[in-house]
Amino acid sequence: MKIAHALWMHLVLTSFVGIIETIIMNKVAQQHEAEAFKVLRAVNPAILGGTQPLQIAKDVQFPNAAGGLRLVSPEEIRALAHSSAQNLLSALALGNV
Amino acid sequence: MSTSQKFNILFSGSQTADTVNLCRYIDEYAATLGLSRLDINTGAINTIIAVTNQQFPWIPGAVKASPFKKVAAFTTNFVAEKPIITPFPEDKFGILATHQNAIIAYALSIDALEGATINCEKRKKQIVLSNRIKISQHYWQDLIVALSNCIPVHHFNCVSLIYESLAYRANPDASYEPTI
Repeated sequence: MKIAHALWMHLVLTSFVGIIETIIMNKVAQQHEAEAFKVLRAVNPAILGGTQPLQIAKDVQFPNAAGGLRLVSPEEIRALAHSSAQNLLSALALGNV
Repeated sequence: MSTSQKFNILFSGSQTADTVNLCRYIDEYAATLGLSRLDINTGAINTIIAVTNQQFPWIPGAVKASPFKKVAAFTTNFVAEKPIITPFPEDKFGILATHQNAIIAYALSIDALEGATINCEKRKKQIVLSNRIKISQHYWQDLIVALSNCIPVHHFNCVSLIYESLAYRANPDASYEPTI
Protein backbone atom coordinates (compact mmCIF):
# COMPACT_ATOMS: atom_id res chain seq x y z
CA MET A 1 0.00 0.00 0.00
CA LYS A 2 2.84 2.33 0.90
CA ILE A 3 4.59 1.59 -2.39
CA ALA A 4 1.43 2.28 -4.35
CA HIS A 5 0.94 5.57 -2.49
CA ALA A 6 4.57 6.60 -3.15
CA LEU A 7 4.23 5.80 -6.85
CA TRP A 8 1.01 7.80 -7.02
CA MET A 9 2.62 10.82 -5.34
CA HIS A 10 5.63 10.56 -7.66
CA LEU A 11 3.33 10.56 -10.69
CA VAL A 12 1.37 13.57 -9.43
CA LEU A 13 4.51 15.58 -8.66
CA THR A 14 6.14 14.72 -12.00
CA SER A 15 3.02 15.82 -13.86
CA PHE A 16 2.83 19.03 -11.86
CA VAL A 17 6.47 19.90 -12.56
CA GLY A 18 5.94 19.08 -16.26
CA ILE A 19 2.99 21.44 -16.47
CA ILE A 20 4.92 24.26 -14.79
CA GLU A 21 7.87 23.66 -17.12
CA THR A 22 5.60 23.84 -20.17
CA ILE A 23 4.03 27.10 -19.00
CA ILE A 24 7.43 28.69 -18.40
CA MET A 25 8.82 27.52 -21.75
CA ASN A 26 5.75 28.87 -23.58
CA LYS A 27 6.20 32.26 -21.91
CA VAL A 28 9.86 32.37 -22.91
CA ALA A 29 9.03 31.36 -26.47
CA GLN A 30 6.35 34.05 -26.74
CA GLN A 31 8.77 36.72 -25.56
CA HIS A 32 11.38 35.65 -28.10
CA GLU A 33 8.76 35.64 -30.83
CA ALA A 34 7.62 39.14 -29.89
CA GLU A 35 11.18 40.46 -29.95
CA ALA A 36 11.87 38.82 -33.30
CA PHE A 37 8.69 40.27 -34.75
CA LYS A 38 9.57 43.74 -33.51
CA VAL A 39 12.97 43.53 -35.20
CA LEU A 40 11.49 42.24 -38.45
CA ARG A 41 8.93 45.04 -38.52
CA ALA A 42 11.68 47.55 -37.97
CA VAL A 43 13.56 46.19 -40.96
CA ASN A 44 10.63 46.15 -43.30
CA PRO A 45 7.45 47.60 -41.81
CA ALA A 46 5.78 48.06 -45.20
CA ILE A 47 5.64 44.34 -45.88
CA LEU A 48 5.16 42.85 -42.44
CA GLY A 49 2.49 45.25 -41.37
CA GLY A 50 0.89 45.62 -38.00
CA THR A 51 -1.35 48.32 -36.71
CA GLN A 52 0.78 49.85 -33.96
CA PRO A 53 3.53 52.43 -34.44
CA LEU A 54 7.00 50.91 -34.47
CA GLN A 55 8.44 50.82 -30.97
CA ILE A 56 11.99 51.05 -32.24
CA ALA A 57 11.32 54.53 -33.60
CA LYS A 58 11.36 55.92 -30.06
CA ASP A 59 14.95 54.83 -29.56
CA VAL A 60 16.40 56.23 -32.78
CA GLN A 61 17.32 59.88 -33.06
CA PHE A 62 16.45 61.42 -36.41
CA PRO A 63 16.51 65.10 -37.28
CA ASN A 64 12.92 66.19 -37.09
CA ALA A 65 12.15 67.54 -40.52
CA ALA A 66 8.49 66.82 -40.07
CA GLY A 67 6.14 68.81 -42.15
CA GLY A 68 2.50 69.14 -42.82
CA LEU A 69 0.92 69.03 -46.22
CA ARG A 70 -1.21 71.88 -47.49
CA LEU A 71 -4.17 72.87 -45.35
CA VAL A 72 -7.49 72.85 -47.14
CA SER A 73 -11.18 73.08 -46.47
CA PRO A 74 -13.59 70.69 -48.21
CA GLU A 75 -14.50 73.41 -50.74
CA GLU A 76 -10.85 74.14 -51.45
CA ILE A 77 -10.14 70.48 -52.19
CA ARG A 78 -12.63 70.52 -55.04
CA ALA A 79 -11.30 73.85 -56.31
CA LEU A 80 -7.75 72.46 -56.26
CA ALA A 81 -8.73 69.33 -58.15
CA HIS A 82 -10.69 71.36 -60.69
CA SER A 83 -7.83 73.77 -61.24
CA SER A 84 -5.23 70.98 -61.58
CA ALA A 85 -7.34 69.07 -64.09
CA GLN A 86 -8.03 72.24 -66.09
CA ASN A 87 -4.32 73.12 -66.21
CA LEU A 88 -3.44 69.63 -67.39
CA LEU A 89 -6.13 69.65 -70.09
CA SER A 90 -4.89 73.03 -71.32
CA ALA A 91 -1.29 71.83 -71.47
CA LEU A 92 -2.24 68.63 -73.27
CA ALA A 93 -4.40 70.55 -75.74
CA LEU A 94 -1.41 72.73 -76.63
CA GLY A 95 0.56 69.57 -77.35
CA ASN A 96 3.95 71.18 -76.80
CA VAL A 97 6.35 68.53 -75.57
CA MET B 1 -16.94 68.47 -41.09
CA SER B 2 -17.56 72.20 -40.87
CA THR B 3 -16.90 74.19 -44.00
CA SER B 4 -14.66 76.60 -42.10
CA GLN B 5 -12.36 73.87 -40.79
CA LYS B 6 -9.12 73.18 -42.57
CA PHE B 7 -7.27 69.89 -42.62
CA ASN B 8 -3.99 68.74 -44.07
CA ILE B 9 -4.99 67.39 -47.47
CA LEU B 10 -3.58 64.00 -46.40
CA PHE B 11 -2.06 62.78 -43.11
CA SER B 12 -4.50 65.05 -41.31
CA GLY B 13 -4.50 62.87 -38.21
CA SER B 14 -7.92 61.47 -39.09
CA GLN B 15 -8.05 58.60 -41.54
CA THR B 16 -11.72 59.30 -42.15
CA ALA B 17 -10.95 62.89 -43.12
CA ASP B 18 -8.12 61.67 -45.37
CA THR B 19 -10.44 59.23 -47.11
CA VAL B 20 -13.15 61.82 -47.65
CA ASN B 21 -10.62 64.36 -48.91
CA LEU B 22 -9.12 61.87 -51.33
CA CYS B 23 -12.53 60.86 -52.69
CA ARG B 24 -13.53 64.51 -53.10
CA TYR B 25 -10.34 65.22 -55.03
CA ILE B 26 -10.76 62.22 -57.34
CA ASP B 27 -14.43 63.01 -57.96
CA GLU B 28 -13.80 66.64 -58.91
CA TYR B 29 -10.72 65.81 -60.99
CA ALA B 30 -12.61 63.23 -63.05
CA ALA B 31 -15.62 65.51 -63.48
CA THR B 32 -13.38 68.28 -64.79
CA LEU B 33 -11.88 65.87 -67.32
CA GLY B 34 -15.40 65.31 -68.63
CA LEU B 35 -16.05 61.90 -67.17
CA SER B 36 -19.69 61.39 -66.20
CA ARG B 37 -18.93 58.10 -64.46
CA LEU B 38 -15.80 56.89 -62.70
CA ASP B 39 -15.48 53.44 -61.19
CA ILE B 40 -13.24 53.30 -58.16
CA ASN B 41 -12.25 50.50 -55.83
CA THR B 42 -13.24 51.89 -52.45
CA GLY B 43 -11.49 49.03 -50.67
CA ALA B 44 -8.25 50.12 -52.31
CA ILE B 45 -8.85 53.72 -51.20
CA ASN B 46 -9.24 52.56 -47.60
CA THR B 47 -6.12 50.43 -47.91
CA ILE B 48 -4.05 53.35 -49.22
CA ILE B 49 -5.07 55.59 -46.34
CA ALA B 50 -4.60 52.85 -43.74
CA VAL B 51 -1.24 51.68 -45.04
CA THR B 52 0.24 55.15 -45.45
CA ASN B 53 -0.85 56.16 -41.95
CA GLN B 54 -0.18 52.95 -40.02
CA GLN B 55 2.70 51.33 -41.89
CA PHE B 56 4.59 54.35 -43.13
CA PRO B 57 7.60 53.14 -45.14
CA TRP B 58 10.06 55.21 -43.09
CA ILE B 59 10.80 53.85 -39.64
CA PRO B 60 10.17 57.01 -37.53
CA GLY B 61 6.69 57.11 -39.03
CA ALA B 62 4.37 59.52 -40.78
CA VAL B 63 4.25 62.05 -37.95
CA LYS B 64 7.96 62.79 -38.22
CA ALA B 65 8.14 62.52 -42.01
CA SER B 66 8.81 65.47 -44.30
CA PRO B 67 6.11 66.49 -46.78
CA PHE B 68 8.16 64.87 -49.54
CA LYS B 69 8.13 61.51 -47.80
CA LYS B 70 4.42 61.87 -47.14
CA VAL B 71 3.50 62.47 -50.77
CA ALA B 72 5.94 59.76 -51.87
CA ALA B 73 4.25 57.24 -49.58
CA PHE B 74 0.89 58.32 -50.95
CA THR B 75 1.98 58.24 -54.60
CA THR B 76 3.68 54.85 -54.49
CA ASN B 77 0.84 53.18 -52.58
CA PHE B 78 -1.85 54.81 -54.72
CA VAL B 79 -0.23 53.66 -57.94
CA ALA B 80 0.32 50.16 -56.56
CA GLU B 81 -3.28 49.78 -55.33
CA LYS B 82 -4.77 51.18 -58.58
CA PRO B 83 -8.03 52.42 -57.00
CA ILE B 84 -9.28 54.17 -60.17
CA ILE B 85 -10.59 51.59 -62.56
CA THR B 86 -11.99 53.76 -65.36
CA PRO B 87 -9.33 54.99 -67.82
CA PHE B 88 -9.16 58.68 -68.71
CA PRO B 89 -10.45 59.90 -72.12
CA GLU B 90 -8.18 58.56 -74.84
CA ASP B 91 -8.78 61.55 -77.12
CA LYS B 92 -7.17 63.80 -74.50
CA PHE B 93 -4.56 61.54 -72.92
CA GLY B 94 -3.53 59.24 -75.78
CA ILE B 95 -1.30 56.39 -74.66
CA LEU B 96 -1.37 57.72 -71.10
CA ALA B 97 -5.15 57.23 -70.84
CA THR B 98 -4.66 54.04 -68.83
CA HIS B 99 -2.21 55.75 -66.45
CA GLN B 100 -5.09 57.41 -64.58
CA ASN B 101 -3.80 56.37 -61.15
CA ALA B 102 -0.34 57.89 -61.63
CA ILE B 103 -1.89 61.08 -63.09
CA ILE B 104 -4.16 61.59 -60.08
CA ALA B 105 -1.46 60.64 -57.55
CA TYR B 106 0.98 63.14 -59.03
CA ALA B 107 -1.63 65.91 -59.32
CA LEU B 108 -2.73 65.55 -55.70
CA SER B 109 0.86 65.37 -54.51
CA ILE B 110 1.77 68.62 -56.27
CA ASP B 111 -1.31 70.31 -54.85
CA ALA B 112 -0.41 68.98 -51.39
CA LEU B 113 3.16 70.30 -51.60
CA GLU B 114 2.09 73.81 -52.56
CA GLY B 115 1.90 75.57 -49.19
CA ALA B 116 3.27 72.59 -47.27
CA THR B 117 5.55 73.27 -44.32
CA ILE B 118 8.86 71.81 -43.22
CA ASN B 119 9.70 72.09 -39.52
CA CYS B 120 13.47 72.11 -39.78
CA GLU B 121 15.19 71.60 -36.42
CA LYS B 122 18.64 71.95 -37.96
CA ARG B 123 17.88 75.44 -39.26
CA LYS B 124 15.52 76.11 -36.36
CA LYS B 125 12.70 77.45 -38.48
CA GLN B 126 9.56 76.52 -40.32
CA ILE B 127 9.93 76.60 -44.09
CA VAL B 128 6.90 77.06 -46.29
CA LEU B 129 6.94 75.69 -49.82
CA SER B 130 5.05 78.67 -51.17
CA ASN B 131 5.86 78.22 -54.86
CA ARG B 132 4.06 75.56 -56.86
CA ILE B 133 6.02 72.84 -58.64
CA LYS B 134 5.93 73.18 -62.41
CA ILE B 135 7.40 70.82 -64.97
CA SER B 136 7.39 70.56 -68.77
CA GLN B 137 4.92 68.36 -70.59
CA HIS B 138 7.80 66.20 -71.75
CA TYR B 139 8.95 65.62 -68.17
CA TRP B 140 5.36 65.04 -67.06
CA GLN B 141 4.83 62.30 -69.64
CA ASP B 142 8.02 60.48 -68.67
CA LEU B 143 7.30 60.90 -64.98
CA ILE B 144 3.77 59.50 -65.30
CA VAL B 145 5.12 56.41 -67.09
CA ALA B 146 7.83 56.00 -64.44
CA LEU B 147 5.40 56.43 -61.54
CA SER B 148 2.97 53.92 -63.05
CA ASN B 149 5.44 51.11 -62.41
CA CYS B 150 6.19 52.05 -58.80
CA ILE B 151 6.42 49.44 -56.08
CA PRO B 152 6.18 51.15 -52.67
CA VAL B 153 8.93 49.27 -50.88
CA HIS B 154 11.34 49.70 -53.79
CA HIS B 155 10.59 53.20 -55.03
CA PHE B 156 9.45 55.17 -51.97
CA ASN B 157 12.84 56.81 -51.39
CA CYS B 158 13.48 57.68 -55.04
CA VAL B 159 10.00 59.17 -55.46
CA SER B 160 10.49 61.21 -52.29
CA LEU B 161 13.75 62.59 -53.69
CA ILE B 162 12.07 63.45 -57.01
CA TYR B 163 9.41 65.49 -55.18
CA GLU B 164 12.07 67.09 -52.98
CA SER B 165 14.19 68.11 -55.98
CA LEU B 166 11.20 69.54 -57.81
CA ALA B 167 10.08 71.44 -54.71
CA TYR B 168 13.56 72.88 -54.15
CA ARG B 169 13.81 73.95 -57.79
CA ALA B 170 10.59 75.92 -57.29
CA ASN B 171 11.61 77.07 -53.79
CA PRO B 172 15.42 77.46 -53.85
CA ASP B 173 15.58 78.93 -50.35
CA ALA B 174 13.97 75.82 -48.87
CA SER B 175 16.90 73.59 -49.73
CA TYR B 176 19.89 72.87 -47.53
CA GLU B 177 23.04 74.49 -48.89
CA PRO B 178 24.44 72.32 -51.71
CA THR B 179 27.97 71.37 -50.61
CA ILE B 180 28.77 68.02 -52.20
